[in-house]
Amino acid sequence: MNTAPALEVTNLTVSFSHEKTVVDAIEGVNLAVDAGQFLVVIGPSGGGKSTLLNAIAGLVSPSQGTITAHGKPVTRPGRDRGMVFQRDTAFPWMRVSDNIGYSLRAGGVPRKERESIVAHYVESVGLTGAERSWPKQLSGGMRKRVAVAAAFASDPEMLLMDEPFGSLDFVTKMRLQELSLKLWSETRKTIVFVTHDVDEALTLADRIVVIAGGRLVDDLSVDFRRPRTDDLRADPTAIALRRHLLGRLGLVGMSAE
Amino acid sequence: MGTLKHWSFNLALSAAGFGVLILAWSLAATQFLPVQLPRPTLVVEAIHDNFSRAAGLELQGLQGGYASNLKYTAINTLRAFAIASPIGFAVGMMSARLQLVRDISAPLLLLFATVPELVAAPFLLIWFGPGELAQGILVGFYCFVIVAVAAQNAALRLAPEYEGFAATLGASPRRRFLTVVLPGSLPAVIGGLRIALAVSWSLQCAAELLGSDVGVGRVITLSQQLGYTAGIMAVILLVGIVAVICDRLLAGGLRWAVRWQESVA
Amino acid sequence: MSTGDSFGAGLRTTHNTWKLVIAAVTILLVWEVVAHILEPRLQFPDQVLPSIERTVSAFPELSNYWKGGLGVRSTESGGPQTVEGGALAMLDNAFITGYRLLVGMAIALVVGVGAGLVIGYSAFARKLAFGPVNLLGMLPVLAMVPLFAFWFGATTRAEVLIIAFGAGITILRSTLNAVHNVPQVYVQAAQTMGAGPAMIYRTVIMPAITPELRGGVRIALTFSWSLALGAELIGVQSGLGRMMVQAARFSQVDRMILICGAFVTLAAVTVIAFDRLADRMIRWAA
Repeated sequence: MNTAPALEVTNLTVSFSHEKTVVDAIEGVNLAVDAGQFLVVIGPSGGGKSTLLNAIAGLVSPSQGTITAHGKPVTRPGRDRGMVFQRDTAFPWMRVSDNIGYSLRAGGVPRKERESIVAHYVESVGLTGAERSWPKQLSGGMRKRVAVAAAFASDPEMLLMDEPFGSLDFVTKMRLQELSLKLWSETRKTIVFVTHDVDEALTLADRIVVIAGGRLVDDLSVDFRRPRTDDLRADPTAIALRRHLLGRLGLVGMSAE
Repeated sequence: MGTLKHWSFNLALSAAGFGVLILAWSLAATQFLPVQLPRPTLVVEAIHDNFSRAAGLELQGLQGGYASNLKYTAINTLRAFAIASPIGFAVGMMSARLQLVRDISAPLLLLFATVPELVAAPFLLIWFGPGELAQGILVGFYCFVIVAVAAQNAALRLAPEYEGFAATLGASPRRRFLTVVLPGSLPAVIGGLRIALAVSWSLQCAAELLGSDVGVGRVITLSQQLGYTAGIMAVILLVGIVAVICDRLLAGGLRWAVRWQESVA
Repeated sequence: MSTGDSFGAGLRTTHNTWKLVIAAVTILLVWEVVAHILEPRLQFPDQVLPSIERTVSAFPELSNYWKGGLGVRSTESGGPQTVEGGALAMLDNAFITGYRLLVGMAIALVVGVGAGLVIGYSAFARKLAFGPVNLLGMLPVLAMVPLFAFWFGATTRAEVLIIAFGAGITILRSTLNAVHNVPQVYVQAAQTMGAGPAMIYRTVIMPAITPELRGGVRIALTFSWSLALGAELIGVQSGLGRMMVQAARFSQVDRMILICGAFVTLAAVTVIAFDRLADRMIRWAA
């Protein structure tokens, strides 16, 4: 709280000139994220939450406003901000270990050191034995593990996750949420996690912000005890928060019974 | 709004691209004699002078000008394509669903999809004599094979869920074929259709070069005998322009036919 | 297979190698029968469709196309027509045609892919090149043989260059398309992992385009065999196409069938070799 925030978004506006994308624009968003915080951004689709994340990643440029990550202004993508995308981004033409070591290669890390870091992450995301596989030989969940390991491997100061588990089945999704929390507690990295899944948000977040219609409409701190188990579903505060968030997503009155 | 500006910008860039090409050609032409590499203006002149009547070629017994010979080539190419590719499409589709059709067509398709088509030209010229028939068979057979192979692959790869769903809705095999397999496979055949038409122009011209009394190929042969390089380049350019226009029309028509398709971003 | 499949995939026809063999034998039988039916009814049956045995026995006649050497005299200098002479003539000309094709294709690959990668680098260059490349790609390349023969003489050089041009422009268009179709998300992922433009080109764009490029190169390869043949049919001296022209001049269909067989085999070998090689190179693709 008393140190400088890991991420500071000031008066951010992103608009698109192309005729089709009236949606996904954002307007006047202010946000400060502390180092080590697990922030979940939630909101209806087309509301601008992915645009916010892409702007932080440096993949789209702001129309107005500024973004500062650990004291430096964001102008382009960089190794200091790792990203996990919704779509499969494990490069199909590289074996698993080459995929995980990609950012290290980009950063000029010597081969020996690279190999030991890759080996560490292969183990910690549970891909032991699959190092030499092509991505096509893996399940969707395994490929996502590759993407997560690749993002962590360069030891970025911050992780940006854009609906990373949105296309996975329920069980795989739970496992990967668990994995994310494990890696987070081991490394204590700042994480900005975009989702449209309220339960995912409640499981992961220290803090939840709601982006809707291109504006930041809610900023809630979530301080349930970790690890969060299934009991959370019965907690009255959690139920109230869940209902509140569902309302923000436009599901008023549908969630109660 | 932004689209029109975007569009006209692209058009301007494309025009600039042609400008660069013409400039490079003009510069290169200064290094050679006109009979070796004529300037672009000489080629334009050749088109202008010979468009409806080619005096030089008339002495060698060729009727008409570039326009009428181009028309002959175009009509023959397009007719062969128009007849053969629907047949190829139908055979390819059926071969993916009827084992008998597959068994009969497989050896032909396998052979002719790997064989360079032009090898048939000398045989066709002997069997049918130089003329429209031999040319039509050469071009038509090529279109048939290319489109049939593309259609067969497309129909074999179509996601089975669509047919399964149609079956659960009570559609008969015949109806499923006509309303699911045919339209569902069309997007994957577009590439094959366009390649077939594009190569057809080349094959038609080659068949004419090997023996024909009319057509672009004949114009080229005679121009070559006269050492009239600008004339050769002129008709090749004309065929290229007509081919581009036909390709655009075909692509546009096909895009309309599959307008229901999700565009992959 | 589940019952659901019997409505969908189960209806699909299947490939069967044995049926292919049966079909091949049938085709040969039909040829033989038709040839024997035609034989008594035509004045010169060998100039229309000779029987299989007649065709095979014409093989020594190919000695006429042997220039002499390796202990086998040319028929021009009074040597007899022999099987060895026929084989040497065939091998010699097949080698010449194959050599021209491979050199032409090599140039086409290097220049086509190279130029495609350079132009594909910037959206500006891509749009600038779009019109001219499209027009050049739609020119009737086979009709340009006389032009190339005029520029470079009716020589190996003309044939190599027309193959390089025809195949090269096809490969260039295919490369440009493939570069355009690389999913943007791969580039973005590489960027967020700190890769610069050069590294992205080398490690993302270049491998990502290979599956799509494969189709384009295969089309170019088959087409370049047509170009090689066309160049030799229309003017270039020596090669299988030239043998074909000489046989066709006297309607010697038996010889033409033999030459055609050699040509087709050669072309098929390169296509199959290419497929094998490409399969190995992109074994990562689904």
